[in-house]
Amino acid sequence: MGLHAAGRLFGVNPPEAGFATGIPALDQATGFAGIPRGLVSELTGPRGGGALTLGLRTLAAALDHGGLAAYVDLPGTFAPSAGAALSLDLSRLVVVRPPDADAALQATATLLRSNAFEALLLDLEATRPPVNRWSHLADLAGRGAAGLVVVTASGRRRVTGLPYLASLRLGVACRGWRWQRSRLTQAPIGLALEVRVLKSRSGTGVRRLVIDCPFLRRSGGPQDALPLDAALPNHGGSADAPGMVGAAAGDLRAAS
Amino acid sequence: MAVKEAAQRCPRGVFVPDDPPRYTRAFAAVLDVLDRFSPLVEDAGVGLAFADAAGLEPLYGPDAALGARVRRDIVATTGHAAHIGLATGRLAAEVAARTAGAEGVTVVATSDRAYLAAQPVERLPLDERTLATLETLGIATIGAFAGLPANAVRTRYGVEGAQARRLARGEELRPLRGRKRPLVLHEAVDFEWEEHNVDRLAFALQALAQRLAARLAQRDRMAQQVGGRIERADGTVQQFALPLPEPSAAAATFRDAARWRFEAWADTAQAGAVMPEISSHQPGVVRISLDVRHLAPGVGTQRSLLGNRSERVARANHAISRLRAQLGDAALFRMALCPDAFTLETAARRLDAYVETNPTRDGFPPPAVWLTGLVGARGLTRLFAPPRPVRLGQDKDARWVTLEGATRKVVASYGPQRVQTEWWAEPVDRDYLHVQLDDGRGLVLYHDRAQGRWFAQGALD
Repeated sequence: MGLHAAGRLFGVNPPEAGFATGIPALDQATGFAGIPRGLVSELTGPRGGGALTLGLRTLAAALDHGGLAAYVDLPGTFAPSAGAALSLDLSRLVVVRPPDADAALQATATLLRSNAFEALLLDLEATRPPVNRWSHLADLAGRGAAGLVVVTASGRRRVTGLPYLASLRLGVACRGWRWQRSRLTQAPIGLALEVRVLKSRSGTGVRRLVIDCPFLRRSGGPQDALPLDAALPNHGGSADAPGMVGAAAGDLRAAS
Repeated sequence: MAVKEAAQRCPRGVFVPDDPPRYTRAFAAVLDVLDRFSPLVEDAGVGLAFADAAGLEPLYGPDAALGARVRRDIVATTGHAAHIGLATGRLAAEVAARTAGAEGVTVVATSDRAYLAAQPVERLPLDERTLATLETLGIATIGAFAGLPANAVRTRYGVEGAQARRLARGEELRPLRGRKRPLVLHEAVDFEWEEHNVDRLAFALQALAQRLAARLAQRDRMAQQVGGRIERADGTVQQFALPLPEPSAAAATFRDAARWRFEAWADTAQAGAVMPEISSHQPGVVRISLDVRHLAPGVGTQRSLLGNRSERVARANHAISRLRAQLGDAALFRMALCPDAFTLETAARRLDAYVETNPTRDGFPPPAVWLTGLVGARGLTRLFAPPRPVRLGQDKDARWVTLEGATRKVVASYGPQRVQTEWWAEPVDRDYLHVQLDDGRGLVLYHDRAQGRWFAQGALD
């Protein structure tokens, strides 16, 4: 019996509260009141299955009360507009783009070791990193209070080692889009996700549920004033302007 | 003589106003040089200092070599000429220094008494009246004065005379009194290579600053001044001393004070770069040091029960610096939205304006900002850069999409939405389309009307 399960059995709260995803049914099903801190969680599913949307939602929830988060973006495809639509405070999000899986795990270890981040999202997509690194990462996560969320793409080749060390594994698959219909048109407003609790060390017995995962999310709590991006417009998920460009800037630092 | 009278007598004379604080500062630099050689240095007033040279021979060689080296270092460090006298006692050393010739170094090879015996009695610390009396009595040398009976000298010239007689006989009245040096905490790091990257220097600075902060905390002190120094491979040295606006014991304060200076020393031609580097035309840095001085008593601080935010930011900075050193500067950044930028040039202009209106402030880790003009693409979580070409087809039953060789049927779509920019802005003329494929995946496509081709902008995941 896990610590959390024992706590629930004796009527006490789990010692490690999680990041509420804002989807009550999912938070309840995980047994950690969301995504757990100090533990490794895995969100896995087919490509395009909604696992990353759920992971971003978790990051946004982790930053609801301030702090810093990191996104280790191995595929190099992070779209900040999606984060902004989920009320993810981009000014507090450090994006790391490592060249390969090994460097991604090293970067994650460095960030975990700093104990300065509320949550880390490691996006591996279909990459298969070395097996022997996961126990080290789990150990580092356990030393701090950061929640480590690993997003993987399911397939014939699984990420070896991670399923054993992860305290929470959710299988995510998209079952369709949620639409907002008007008299003239209809527009997608979210995903219908089928979530299977593949593993939970604080399991509640719920094995499968279907949830709505909207593209938009309201911030879940009071936040500090944005130190850097206060002058920037936040247009996430509202306007419909195309194109993508990028530019690197000099060292920008904001007041602590 | 009053200055006015002197000016009248010497109309062409140049009169320099007296500036005792300046003299004190200049002489303090001389004392600092002496500190490098001797553990015991006595400040005998501006212009005169005594240093204990006992036991320095194995380090610096004979007395003459020691004197020459001290003199050379003083000249090199302060720019002031110095005269050095080496003797057993202070009076003999002072007389030797004051009578040093062009070489500036005199070593008293005999006993102090024998050396002083031939010197004029005016070298003794006696008042003018006593000296006049001695002149009347025909006592012209220190040796003659030393030969007078002790009781007679004490009776006639008092305690001052008796002490002068002891000095004349080569005796020391008291041991050297080392000057009270202000406490300066100093940390340094040596590089085994020539370091050009300012960020890696900042990383080393961070370590130095943390060590200094820990030492200050041990002493419950706060620093009021930070000093830094970098030494390049060619031996050149740059240093600074910066008074702090308020006493501080925070490592971040020390690090940033030094980093600003170091960045200022970096090549200004690269000021707009993501990571300014010291120009490769300049020799790299082989040693950096940081010190804190003018220490004041610490003040009580109350620890936050939930952890110190600035500490977390500092730890995050530390981790980011490490990652940038490992992965390169471009591997870490922060993102921001720029909704009306469609090309790199526009984004760069937006960014310049943004940086200008948001001056650099301390304490936040992200090293760079990326701008993206893509907003509003509902649910788009994976952004393809560059967009990937797709084929969009339609038959009588359904539409289909071919991406990277795989063809899937479209089960639902949203759009198209036409986006056109003004003719004077960037030429953007696209139709955007959300499609849901039969395998559950969602894509955001656009049709470039100018090229007549379809691209995948990203995916919903």
